Amino acid sequence: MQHVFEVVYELDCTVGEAVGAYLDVEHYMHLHKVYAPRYEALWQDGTKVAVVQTWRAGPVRFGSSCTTEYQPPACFLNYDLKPVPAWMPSIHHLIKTRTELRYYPTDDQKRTVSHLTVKLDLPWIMWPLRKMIEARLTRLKIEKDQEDVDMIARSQRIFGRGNISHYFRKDVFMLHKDAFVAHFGPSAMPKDRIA
Amino acid sequence: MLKKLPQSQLPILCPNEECDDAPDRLRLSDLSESAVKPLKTALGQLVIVLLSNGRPRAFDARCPHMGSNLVTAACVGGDIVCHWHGYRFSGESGALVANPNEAIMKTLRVPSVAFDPTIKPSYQLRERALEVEDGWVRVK
Repeated sequence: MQHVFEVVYELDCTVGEAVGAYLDVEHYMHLHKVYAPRYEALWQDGTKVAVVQTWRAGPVRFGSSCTTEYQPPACFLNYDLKPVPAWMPSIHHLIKTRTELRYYPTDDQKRTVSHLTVKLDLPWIMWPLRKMIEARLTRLKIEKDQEDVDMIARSQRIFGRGNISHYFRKDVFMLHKDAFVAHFGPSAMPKDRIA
Repeated sequence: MLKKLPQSQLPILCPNEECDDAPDRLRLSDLSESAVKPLKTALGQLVIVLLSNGRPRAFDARCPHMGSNLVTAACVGGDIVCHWHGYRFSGESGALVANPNEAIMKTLRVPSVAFDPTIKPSYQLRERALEVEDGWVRVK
């Protein structure tokens, strides 16, 4: 049985700033340490990256792995969510989760819409819990985004609104940087950027 | 294909106000080796660290990497660790001493058109001269 829900709100930044913050992978383990104290990339194949995020509880390290995919300029997919270690009892054995996050400019081109679509494939026995799962995932998404929004707001105060040139320095690492620079860099087409 | 939603009723996720309640003076005894202390001055917000030799050091509270506020940085072994990306700066000199992500992201950090992993960034915290007088820490 499939349960689909959306989490949609506006972010007070440009699409380039929102995408930059998402691809700025070096902050995941530090700024978002409550949610992903350990982040490990398993492999990368083009715009797909398999990652493991784990927590430690005493001697046991547990968490989940998933495949993330970037579809430039501003779409992100997450799927193949599995428990780590695989033998661990987990909700991920029962539920198949797929998310699609899109950023696009608001109609007045001043802000960015963050549009998350979540598809849950649930066994019938878990169907009554779908709203509770939806509420928890929504809260998690908002909490993490709040940290990114605070980071973006400070960057705007320092570098100026819409200025993402700090990401373009050659020593700065981020996921799928060539694609990001191609779409949001100095020589990108203006349609991909907003005021 | 995702449809665009009507935007008149969308909520906006607003940033939290940045904390600006740093004291404008500190006693040497307020400092500790395990935490940075914020200090509000005419030069702007600073962070003060206490080295293991008992001497304090002052730096601008702005990370030279991406601009985070170092008031929320951790202090580990005399180094200042930025809470955004984990970059570690020497509490003695303010120089970048380690980027822990180089090891964590080793699989992903491959050379590309826009990224060169062989370039070693030389980020440096801006140091401010301090003096200690009658137990009070003051910026010169």
